[in-house]
Amino acid sequence: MAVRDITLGQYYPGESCIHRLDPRVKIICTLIYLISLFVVQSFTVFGLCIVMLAIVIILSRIPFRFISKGLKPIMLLIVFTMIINLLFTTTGDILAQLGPVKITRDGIYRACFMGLRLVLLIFGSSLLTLTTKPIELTDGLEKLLAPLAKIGLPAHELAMMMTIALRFIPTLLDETDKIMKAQTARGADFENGSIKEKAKALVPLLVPLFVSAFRIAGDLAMAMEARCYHGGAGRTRMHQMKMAKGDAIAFAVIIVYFALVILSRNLSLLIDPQAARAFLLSL
Amino acid sequence: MQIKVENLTKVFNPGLPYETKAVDKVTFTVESGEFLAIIGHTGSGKTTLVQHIAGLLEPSEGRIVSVADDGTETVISQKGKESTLVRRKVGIVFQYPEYQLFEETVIKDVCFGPKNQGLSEEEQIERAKEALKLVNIDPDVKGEVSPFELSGGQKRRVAIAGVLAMRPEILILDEPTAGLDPKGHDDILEMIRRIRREVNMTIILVSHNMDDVAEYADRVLVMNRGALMFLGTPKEVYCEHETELREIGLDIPSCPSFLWMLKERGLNVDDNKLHFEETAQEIIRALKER
Repeated sequence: MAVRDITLGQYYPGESCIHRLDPRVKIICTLIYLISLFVVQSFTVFGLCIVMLAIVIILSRIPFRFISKGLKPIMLLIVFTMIINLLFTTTGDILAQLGPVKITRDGIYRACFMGLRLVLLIFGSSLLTLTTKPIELTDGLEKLLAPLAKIGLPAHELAMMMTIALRFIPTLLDETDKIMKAQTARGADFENGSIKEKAKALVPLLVPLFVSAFRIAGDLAMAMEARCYHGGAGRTRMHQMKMAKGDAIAFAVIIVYFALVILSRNLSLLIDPQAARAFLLSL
Repeated sequence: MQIKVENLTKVFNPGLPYETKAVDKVTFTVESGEFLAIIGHTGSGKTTLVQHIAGLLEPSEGRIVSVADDGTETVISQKGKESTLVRRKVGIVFQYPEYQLFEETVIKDVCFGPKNQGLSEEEQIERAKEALKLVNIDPDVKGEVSPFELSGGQKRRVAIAGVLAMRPEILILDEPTAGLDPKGHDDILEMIRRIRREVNMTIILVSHNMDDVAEYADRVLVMNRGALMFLGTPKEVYCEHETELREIGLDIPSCPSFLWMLKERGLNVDDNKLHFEETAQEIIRALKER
């Protein structure tokens, strides 16, 4: 069933050095990587991003096939973005023209550029969830957000909500799968028919799913209360997060990488005095 | 209608670290009109096996064929092919079937299956009423009630009626008594026995309650780690393979188990008895002899 093929946000069990990194470091490094993708302005520098990503993928020992499966659900979005960029870029040499629609050299360049950027964005962010257990991820997030609790941000509650949401994704997927099968056995058809028929066919799936979700939520709330859960204040952890040497190295690598990306953006400024002067004047 | 399971293998998540072989080269035949019980531990592949028979999963290898009474064969499922035809002939009641209820009224929910079969409205209602009567729910009293207002046991019976209303030739029940109290448990099993007698259906019951299986089933199929371990009458399976069953952590039904303990303490009884009545007779006989 299609619901089982979703890899976005899924954890891939492993023991690699990437898996063992402190979740806080992984979150920050991923953020920096994602920001760097928006700083990049040329294909040459994307080469650097790809190399960086490739190194992490190899170190994490996750089969490439598994990571690329995460692209499938977003493929439509990527293709759509590329087409929009292709058709609505009007600058540059015109390569083909049909009525008001022009395909320009710039358009092709931008379409490829955006497409690559999206693919790298998805790879980068799925690597974080693939190598970090959901619990570690939310713990890390809670720790990172903790300073903001002073200005009233409910860091613990946010993290707990995320933990619960992540924890129940597979449960609800299983539940969906089960109800789907049960209704299919009663002759329901989820795949064929017009959009209206398909939407109507979802009722026998959604009603039981909602009933289940509320039941599960109620049970969980009861179980948490029975174990005296009363929010984040004064809670201690079984696994304390500790930074290790590997974390320092990872941090150093990502900083150097980011510096390189920023520098490369302004590379022309460094080697071409005239461009540098123009840049300074433009400020 | 006969069902032939031929060399059935199912692998989940092939090529991933959590690849699991749920069913491993299973071959057997379900005879027309029989009561077959499938037993085994949690995770032994029982549910996966019956979902294949219902045509809901695609096998990784092997195939399942239904043989009509006149000998014509139809493929239920094999690799790369899923059949919807068979779903009408094989009804499956899932674990906790009450979680599939969704309609506003009991009658409407039971009509869902017949409606998908393309029957006329009168026929749907007629089928639904008939099915509700089979599960001991009065359609005139409970028909217009919301299924969510019923008790747990009633909900389950309505859900079973939802499958019966499609008039399947084979009825698969996946742990139909899970989570019920002893009375609800007995009610459901008695109901299954009655349905079988009245409508002459083939029944496949997935269970891990050994006493139920000994009491009701014509044949027992024991699954262990995805493989078929034993298949035979309850007597054959329980009496000849007692030690193996204990080794894989399955219980022996209480009757032979009790007789066996008596035998160990020196009472000369035959421990090949499965039903309570014959067990009592056997103990009386042995005591008189002494």
